Amino acid sequence: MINSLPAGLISITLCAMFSSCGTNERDAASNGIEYWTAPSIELSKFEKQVVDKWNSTHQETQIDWKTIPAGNTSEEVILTAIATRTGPDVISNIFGGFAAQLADAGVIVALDTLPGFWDVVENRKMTNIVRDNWFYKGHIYVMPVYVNPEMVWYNKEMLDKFGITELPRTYSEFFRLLEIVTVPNKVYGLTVDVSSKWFRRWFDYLTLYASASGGVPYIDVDKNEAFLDSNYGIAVTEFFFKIFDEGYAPRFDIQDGFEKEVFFASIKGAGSTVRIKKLFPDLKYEIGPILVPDDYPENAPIYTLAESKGMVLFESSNNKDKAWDFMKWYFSGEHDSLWIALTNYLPAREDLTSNPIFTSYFDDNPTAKIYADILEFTVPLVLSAKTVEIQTSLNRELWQPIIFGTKSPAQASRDANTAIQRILKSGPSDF
Amino acid sequence: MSKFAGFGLVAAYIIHSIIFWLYPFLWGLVIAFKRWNIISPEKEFIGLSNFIGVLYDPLFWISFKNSLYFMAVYVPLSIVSALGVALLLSRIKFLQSFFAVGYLMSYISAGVAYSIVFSLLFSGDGLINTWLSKINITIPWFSDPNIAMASIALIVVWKYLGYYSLIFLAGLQAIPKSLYESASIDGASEWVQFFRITVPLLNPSFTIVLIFAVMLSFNIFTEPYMITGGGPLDSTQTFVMQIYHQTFTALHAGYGSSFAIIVAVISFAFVFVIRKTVERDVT
Repeated sequence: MINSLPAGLISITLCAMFSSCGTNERDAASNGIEYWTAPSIELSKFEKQVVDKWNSTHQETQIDWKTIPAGNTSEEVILTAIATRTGPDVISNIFGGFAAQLADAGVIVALDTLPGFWDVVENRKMTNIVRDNWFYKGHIYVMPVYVNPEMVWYNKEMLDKFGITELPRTYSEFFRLLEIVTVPNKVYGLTVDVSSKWFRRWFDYLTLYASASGGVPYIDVDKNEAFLDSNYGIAVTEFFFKIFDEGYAPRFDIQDGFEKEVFFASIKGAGSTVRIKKLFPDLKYEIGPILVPDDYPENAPIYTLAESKGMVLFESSNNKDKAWDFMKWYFSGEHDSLWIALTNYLPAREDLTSNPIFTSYFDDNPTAKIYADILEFTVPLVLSAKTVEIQTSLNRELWQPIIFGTKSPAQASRDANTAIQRILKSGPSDF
Repeated sequence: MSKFAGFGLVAAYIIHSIIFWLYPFLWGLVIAFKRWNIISPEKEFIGLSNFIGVLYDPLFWISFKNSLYFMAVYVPLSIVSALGVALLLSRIKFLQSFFAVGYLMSYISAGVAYSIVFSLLFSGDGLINTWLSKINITIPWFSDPNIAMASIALIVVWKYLGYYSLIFLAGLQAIPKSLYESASIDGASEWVQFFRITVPLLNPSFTIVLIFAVMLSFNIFTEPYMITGGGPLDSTQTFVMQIYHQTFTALHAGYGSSFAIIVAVISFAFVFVIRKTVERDVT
C-alpha cells in the first residue's frame, strides 16, 4: 500500500534528482560494457556462456553482464535506470513499442547509422525481418533477437476421446468441437486471459486479429488509422464474445488451466514448450494454426502474431564503439544454435528451417519445428510509442465489455476503434 | 542547552522532510504544469492543460466513484472490527501485548506477498471457492464487477485491523476507570456505559482512525494493482493506480503529477470535513 499520497511524486522526483547528478560515473571510470538481459533462467544460461566467451577473448573490453533487476515489468526498471543514469550500455529483451518510446526520447542509438549494420543483418539472415518489421521513423533502433509466434494447442486426450482427427481451422469448426468437448463449469473451451493487463491482448485478441486480417496490422501508425471496426475486426470480437457468452471460457482466471486439463484449447507461443515439459511432462497436446473467420479464403496461408524482442544500444554509453563491436559479434549468427538449444526461443532469422546448424535441434524438438515453419506468415507487434495507451484502450473499450457482455461485438469494435484512432491522432504526447 | 543543540536535535527530521517531502512536493507542483516523459530532459510548460485533462478524464471519475465505494465498505467495517478487537483486548488480563502484537502482524506483512496469497485463496478455482463449492456456492470475489472492490476492501480491513485496534486500545486505556465505577454505582448497564462513556471519550481515537481510513481509501494501490489490475470493467481502478499508470507506464509524468495533486486536494478536503464534523474536545 502506498501510504502517503504524493508517493508517486516522490518517485518521479527521486528520478529527477538523481538524473541531475552529472555524468554516468560507471561509464566514465570503466572501459567495460554493462549489458542487461531478461531475468529468465533459460536465457541467462545462454547469456552467461556467450558473455564468458567474449570476455575470454576480448581482454580490453570486458562485458559486465546482469539480468534486468527485479521489478513489476522490465520496462519500468529500465526507465528508472535511464532516469537515474544507472542504466547499462546495452539491453536485450526490449519490445518494439518500448523501443519506439525510447527512440522518441532520443535515448537509444539508430543502429542503421553505425558502420557495418546491414552486413550484420545480412550475415544473420534477417534482412527481410529487419526491413519489414523494425523500421521506426526511418531508422532501425532494435536488433531483433528472437520471435515467438502464437499457435493453438489442443488437449490430445480430449481429441482422442471424442475421435477428433482433424484440427479446426475456422471459428465454426472450433465451436462445433466445443459443443462436443466442453462440460459446463468443468471443462472449458479456450483459455482466455480476462485480466486488464495491456500486454495480454497480444496473446488473444491481436493474435486472432492478425490471422483474420490475413496479416494486416490492426493500426496504421503512419496514417493514424485503426481498423478494429473492419469486418474481420468485428468477426474476432464476435468470436470472443461467443466464447464468454456460451461459457466456453470462465470470466475469471484459472491458473495453468490448459496444463491441468480443464481447458480443451489454448493459444501459446513456442517458448511455452520448455515450461510445460518441465512442469507438466505428462500433458499431451497437438498444435494447430490460429483460427480464422468462416469466410477466410480456403487456400490462403494463415497468419499469426509473433512477439519479438531485441537489443538496443543507449546513447548515454561512453563506449558506443566497443558496445557495437559486441553487438556485431553477438549477432554474427555463430551463437544461434546455442541460443535455440538453451532457450527454445526461435532466433529472429529467415533460414531456421534450411540452415543445417538447426537441423538436429528441430529433429529433437518437432514442436519447435511447427513454429519455425510458419515464421514467414507471422505479423510483428506494431511499432508505436503509444502501444501501452492503445492496448489499455483496447482493454477498456472492447475486451472487458465483451467479457461481461455489456456491449455488442459491433459496438465494442466501433468504440475501441474510435478511442484508438483518437490516441493515434493525438500529438507526440499530449501530456 | 544552546539553540544550536536544539537545531541539531531536530536537524535529522528537518533534512528528512526537505528531501523526502518538501522537494518532491515542490517538484511535483512544477512538473504538473509541464509535459514530460521522465526519460527526456525536455520539459515543456503547458499551463493548466494537465489539470483540465485530469478533470475531463473518465478514469478520474471512475476512480473517484470506486474510492467512494471502497470507503463505504472499508470505513465502517474497519472501525467496527477494530473497535471490537480493541474491546476484547482491553478485557484480557494476561498476555495482552502478545495478542495486540499478533494482530499487528498483518500490518507489517508485505503488500505484494499477501495480495498474491489472497488472489490465490479467493480465485475462481482457489481454496475458498473449492470449500464453498461443496455446498454448491461459488463467489466470484474478484471477477464480478459488483463485488470486486468490496472483496479488496475486506483484505485491507484484515491488514489494518491490528493497527486500528491498537489506536482504539490506547484510547480505551486512557478513559478513567472511575467513570465506569460511578456509572455502575448509579445503575448504568454495560450498554449504557459503552454508549455514554466509551464512545464519546473515544472520539480522538475515532477521529484518527476515521482520517486514516478515509485517506487510505484515496491511496489504495497494491491490492487492486496486484489482484485485479483495475478490472473487471474498471471496477477496481483507483487514483493511485492511474497516477502510477500515467507516470510510469504511459510516461506522462506531468499528467501523473497533476492527477496526484488533485487527489491530494480531494483527500485533504475530506479530512478537513471529518475534523470539523467529527472531532470533539474530550479533555
